Amino acid sequence: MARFDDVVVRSLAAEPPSCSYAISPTQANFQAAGGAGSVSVNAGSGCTWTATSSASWITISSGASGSGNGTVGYSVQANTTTASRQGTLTVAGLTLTVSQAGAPPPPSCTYAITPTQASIPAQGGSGTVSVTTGAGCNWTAASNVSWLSITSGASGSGSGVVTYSAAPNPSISQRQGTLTVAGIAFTVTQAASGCTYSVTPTEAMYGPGAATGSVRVYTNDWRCGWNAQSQVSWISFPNGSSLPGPGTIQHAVAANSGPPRMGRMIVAGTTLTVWQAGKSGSATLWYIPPGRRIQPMLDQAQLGDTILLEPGATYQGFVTLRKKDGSGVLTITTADPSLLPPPGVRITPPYFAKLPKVISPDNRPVITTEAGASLPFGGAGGRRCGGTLHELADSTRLRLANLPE
Amino acid sequence: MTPPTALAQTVLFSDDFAAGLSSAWSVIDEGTHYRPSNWWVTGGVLEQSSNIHDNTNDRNVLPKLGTYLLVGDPNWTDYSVSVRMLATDDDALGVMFGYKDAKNYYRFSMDQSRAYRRVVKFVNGTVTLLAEDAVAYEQNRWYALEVRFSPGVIEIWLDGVRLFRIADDSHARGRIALYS
Repeated sequence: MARFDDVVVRSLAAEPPSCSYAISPTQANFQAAGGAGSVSVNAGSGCTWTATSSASWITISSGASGSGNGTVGYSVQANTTTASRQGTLTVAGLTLTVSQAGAPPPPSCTYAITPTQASIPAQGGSGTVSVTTGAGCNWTAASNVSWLSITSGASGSGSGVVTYSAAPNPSISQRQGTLTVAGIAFTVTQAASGCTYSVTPTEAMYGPGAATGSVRVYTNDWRCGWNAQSQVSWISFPNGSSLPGPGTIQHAVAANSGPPRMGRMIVAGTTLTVWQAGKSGSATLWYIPPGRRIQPMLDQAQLGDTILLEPGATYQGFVTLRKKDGSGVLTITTADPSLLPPPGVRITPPYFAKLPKVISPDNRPVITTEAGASLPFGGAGGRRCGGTLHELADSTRLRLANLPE
Repeated sequence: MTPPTALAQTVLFSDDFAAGLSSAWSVIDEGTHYRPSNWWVTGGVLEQSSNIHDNTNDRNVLPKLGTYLLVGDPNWTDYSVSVRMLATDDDALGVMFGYKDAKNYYRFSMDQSRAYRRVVKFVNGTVTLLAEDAVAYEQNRWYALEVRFSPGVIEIWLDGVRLFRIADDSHARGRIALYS
């Protein structure tokens, strides 16, 4: 008979060590800005562990797993919300609670600007306004008048600079405008412009008889007064010589029985030139200033009249000789015959510079004639040369005065 | 010498038979003579009183089929079996281990009348002697047997003395049985 007792079967395999774990700390607090942290793992040799994060804003940066003692590094992202939050790391089966404060509420912003006012000359200009405030404080800048404009810094965050530009002030009164910068008024005072005037026309030509004319004066402000003065006795202002603002002034020209004359009057600071034809017996003597067109005077003149051109001056064609009724000739000659040889003496090239000239701007003839018209050559008399004078226009310079008969 | 004690050994199975013969055990009778076996518990001790055998009295015939009481998990490996055992007659008794099935296992047995303590292995029914001495046990003496069965290494400790250390890797795992 066999007897048995106390049967025991034991495993001989090495048991894994009985592992116990501890972590430190078990809680961590972070400001809203976040940051890095670490947690120490205390474990026996050979005791393995892992670390995981339960929150997307907590990231294991090192030591995601280990054996025995170790350290887990982690980082906490910035909390951009104002609410605090909590997350956990599970390290070696233990929980590390991570608390993070919410972002601070936006700061209570205060603003200041420097300067608070500026003066700008009448012709305009630019300037700057400095804004002083805290970081993250937003502001804007805007103009409340059309002549002030923001050229840079229309908005900003934190301290900054606004640049503005003022247009010229056309008024004779100073003006003010404001920029609202960061809610604060910035006052710009712009100086007044002086009165400015423009006058038209600036010259006039009259016949030998008494005549009147008018001159229009424009100003930049209705309050800009002005007056007129004549520098010659034969020009007068029968209706008054001043006006308180823009307007028209009448002037009168006395009859002229002598040679052509020129006088000046000063209207609102502008000098106006007046030419008046003269008389020689029954003939009218017309004077055409240099640079003026010949044609109007030529059309106005009658047979028997004389048109005087400035010695040495150049007049631009074209000139059309029209058929005029009556008898006699229309003479075009130099205004100063004394500069030329006496009648009967041939004009030689040295005198050419003293002759008035009529030129053509292109290849068209300088002078053409209507049928029945005639052209006098010379100063004391004339010959009819009707119909064919335009052929002379092949030359760019036609000397009209004192031509030999 | 005492068998080394592993740290924190896990007890896979134990039975002091205080509660009788539990259903965890299975009786396998292989002997052709004096069948069936007679396993029973009395006074907290397991006894097998049948003289069941395969009619091979020759000491050198290795199978020596009798009866065994099987228990355990076929996946047990790297384990030790401790048991106290006593014979009131002169027949063989011992422990089978690394038991896969009836044709594949190791067996330590000791016999008083044939004067041996041996370890044999059954591999697909073929029996091979692994270790043996010519010592007969003493009747009516409790022996403390410990079989240490690790893959590739077998140690037989009796009353704290290692009888054999055997290198063999025929079987790596299996259940245990009490052999009589």
